[in-house]
Amino acid sequence: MSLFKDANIQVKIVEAFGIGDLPEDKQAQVLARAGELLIKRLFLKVADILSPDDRNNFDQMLGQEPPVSEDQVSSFLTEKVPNIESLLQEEISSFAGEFRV
Amino acid sequence: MDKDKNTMENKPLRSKVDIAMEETGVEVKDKTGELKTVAEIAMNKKDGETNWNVKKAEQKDTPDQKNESERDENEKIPMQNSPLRTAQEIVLENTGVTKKQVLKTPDGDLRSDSDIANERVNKIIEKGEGQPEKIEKTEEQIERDKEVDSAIKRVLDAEDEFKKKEKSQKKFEGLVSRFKMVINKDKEGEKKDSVTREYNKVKAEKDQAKKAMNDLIKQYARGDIESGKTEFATKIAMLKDKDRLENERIKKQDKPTQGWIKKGLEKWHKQGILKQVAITGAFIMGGEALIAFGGLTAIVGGTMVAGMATLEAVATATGVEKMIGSGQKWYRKKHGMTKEAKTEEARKEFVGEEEDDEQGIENLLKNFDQHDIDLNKKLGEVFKVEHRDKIIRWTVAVAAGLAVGGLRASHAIAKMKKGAELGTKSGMIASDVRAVNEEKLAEIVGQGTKEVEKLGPRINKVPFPSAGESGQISRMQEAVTSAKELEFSSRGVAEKGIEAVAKSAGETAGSLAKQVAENPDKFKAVVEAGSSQWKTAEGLLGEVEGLGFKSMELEQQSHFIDSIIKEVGKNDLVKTGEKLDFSKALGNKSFMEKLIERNKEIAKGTKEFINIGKNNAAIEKWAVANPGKALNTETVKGIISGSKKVAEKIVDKGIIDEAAKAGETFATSLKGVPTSAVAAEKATFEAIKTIGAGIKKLPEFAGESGVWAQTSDMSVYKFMEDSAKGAIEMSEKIGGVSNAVSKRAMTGEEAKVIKLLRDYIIKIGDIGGKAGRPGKGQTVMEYINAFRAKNGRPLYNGLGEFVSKVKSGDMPIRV
Repeated sequence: MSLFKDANIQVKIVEAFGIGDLPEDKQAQVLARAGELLIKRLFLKVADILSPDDRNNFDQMLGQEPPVSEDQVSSFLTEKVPNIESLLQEEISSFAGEFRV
Repeated sequence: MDKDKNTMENKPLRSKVDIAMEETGVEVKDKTGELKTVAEIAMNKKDGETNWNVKKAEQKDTPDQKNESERDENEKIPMQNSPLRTAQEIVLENTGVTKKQVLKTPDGDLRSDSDIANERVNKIIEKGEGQPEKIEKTEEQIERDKEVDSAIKRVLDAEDEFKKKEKSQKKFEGLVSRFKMVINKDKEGEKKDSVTREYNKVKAEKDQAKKAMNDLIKQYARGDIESGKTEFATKIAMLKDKDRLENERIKKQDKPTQGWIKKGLEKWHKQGILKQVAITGAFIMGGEALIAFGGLTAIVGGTMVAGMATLEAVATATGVEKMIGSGQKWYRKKHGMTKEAKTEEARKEFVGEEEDDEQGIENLLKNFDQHDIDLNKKLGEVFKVEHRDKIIRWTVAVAAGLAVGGLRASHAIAKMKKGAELGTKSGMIASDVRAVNEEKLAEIVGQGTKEVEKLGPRINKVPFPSAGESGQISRMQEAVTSAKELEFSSRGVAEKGIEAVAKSAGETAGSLAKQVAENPDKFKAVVEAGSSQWKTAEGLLGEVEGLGFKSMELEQQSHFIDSIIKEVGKNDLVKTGEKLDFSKALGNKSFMEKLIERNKEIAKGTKEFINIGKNNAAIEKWAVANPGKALNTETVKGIISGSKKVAEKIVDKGIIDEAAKAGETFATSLKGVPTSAVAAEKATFEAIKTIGAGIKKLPEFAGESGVWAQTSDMSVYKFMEDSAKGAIEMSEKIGGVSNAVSKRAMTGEEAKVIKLLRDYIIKIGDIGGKAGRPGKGQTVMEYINAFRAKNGRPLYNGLGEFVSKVKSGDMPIRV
């Protein structure tokens, strides 16, 4: 499963940042960059919530070589943070609120 | 070559500028005020009387000496410093008002817009210019004629200005460069001849187009065309045609300019009518302010597009003078500003107050960069430092994937919606053209409802193989919502039509009078802060039971509000908190009855636009087919009277093409979407397309004419051969049953369906290649089915859905 794809965060980012009317290439540019920052913000937020052991495991997971799949990260977060989806939604809103075009 | 050289030797030394201006026919005023070409002035000049340009040329230039910057400078002169008049001056002249008068401060004797209009009309009458022959007209007709005259003259004058400047900017430059080439390579006489021929050809085409336009204008001025809505509609349709030409011009601009205009127009279209006209009026008035950005040609071109569209939208019913006046006020208000500030204000007004998208995104990404630095720093603090770069790479990869997937999803949905919207739009246009009756409207609603009902279960049944595809479900659900909205819109259109049919003006007026008598206070309103008399009336009328104000066309609403306000007797300057009493007007049965009847005429007038559009299409087609032939009054009459079917065919083809194109766009968007989603989207798309009334028209045509019944069993080769010649004969229907013995020629609608079917078969052939060629004797139906069998689905890029639905009996049609 993929937390990010299932939550349809792409569409939500487009809506939250009000970039729906932009040309496709511009949308992609903003979407890719905003998505990246959003995930980083989420990781930092999650790190605050996780227990020290889980946080350490999460850290190890993210540092693996080759990199873990998106599904593995999604599974971990969904299991350890039950309200991860609402957390993600909140983060989208707060992120867009800070940087809206 | 020698001849040309001699010609040049017989004239005073001329610069490339002069040569080009002579060739383009650009005219300037000499001191006597007479319009002359530069060459004419140069040939007859007296010391001190010639203009700037000739003198400059004599002093400085020989053809090969001028460097690029000097040349550029010279090319700007005719636009900015020459006696050529600005758009503002032209408009001022046409309104009969001097610049000084217009610029009087609010404390001075500033005249009303209607005063300005009256003066202009009086001036024309005094001079006897453009005055129609005396025809007994009602006051209403005279008033309307004034509005029409004024609106059209403004547009035409502004356009003339545009053309002049376009010449001096573009052709001028082009010709100078061409002449330079020829002078440098004077042995290439043939090449020069070719250039000259090309130029003459273009010029002849333009002259012909202008002559046709002028002929119509003269007819109008002479009163040859009967006064009334028809002639008005003709004029406006003519302007609309010019509007289209201007659009073509915009397409020729460089990309950034195109984007600027497009963005501006998009914003402009979202404005209210009053705001639109204000901006347009300002552009016409303030043309010179716009030179500084975007390029003169582009800006004026954009202005013309906006101006004409607006005039068309509002001129039937509202006081154009008054509205254009808003634009004039806007311009006056800004007149004292610096050129830069004025320019920026105009740009903002046109594009909107928002920050430029490009700049906005650039700033956003810059802010992102700073935020990213902070986040990366924190990541290094929270997670192991050696993991930080890996985390960053991971987030970049996932986000990039999201961006691609997300865009694919959002664009597919957007395209799907667009397809459905176009379908509905085309259906609505088709409804107008065909004078849809109550039964027909009810049928459209019923059909739409039925399709929406079918859509839900169909989507629910689609198997989704993995949870990862759940995003697709939401897309489907969104499509259902869109479909429902469309159905709702269709219902609204239908109800509006039914309401219009059911209610007579007398009944409505009587009902209103009764309501007012029972509760007059209900028809009084207080002007709120930031509101106006217009808005207050609009709000109140929208709430009046049984009036159907909200469902009126825009032109009807404008006329209604104008008339009510006039009856109430208030000027436009109302104060916040002021109480407006509409009860007397709304309770006046005879007044309201007359107003409602007049409003119905306006609705008919709107339909006349559509008919005129058909005529224009027929004229255009004729002109293409008859190059070089004069397009005079008689020819135009002949085309219009004898080509109604042709015109209808063209219009209908356009409608169908629009819907089909939307369908094709969607079909293209399906490429690259996961297979499982395609199945689901296909079902959705089928339903949405079906709801789109434009698509529904196709089976309707087939049903009424029996085209499919006539052609499905023909061999592909025979069908292609006969359809190319337009030689397919249709069976006559006797008592509703096709009679194979009795034959008749195709109707326009049938020919259209045949053409679509033909195009569809060609597309199948293109995809199938050699192996996909139809077998000898293979019928049209067999050929289409063979494609479906081979590919697992019909070809959606065209007529596949239509054909399969007709054949399977899935559509409620009569074949």
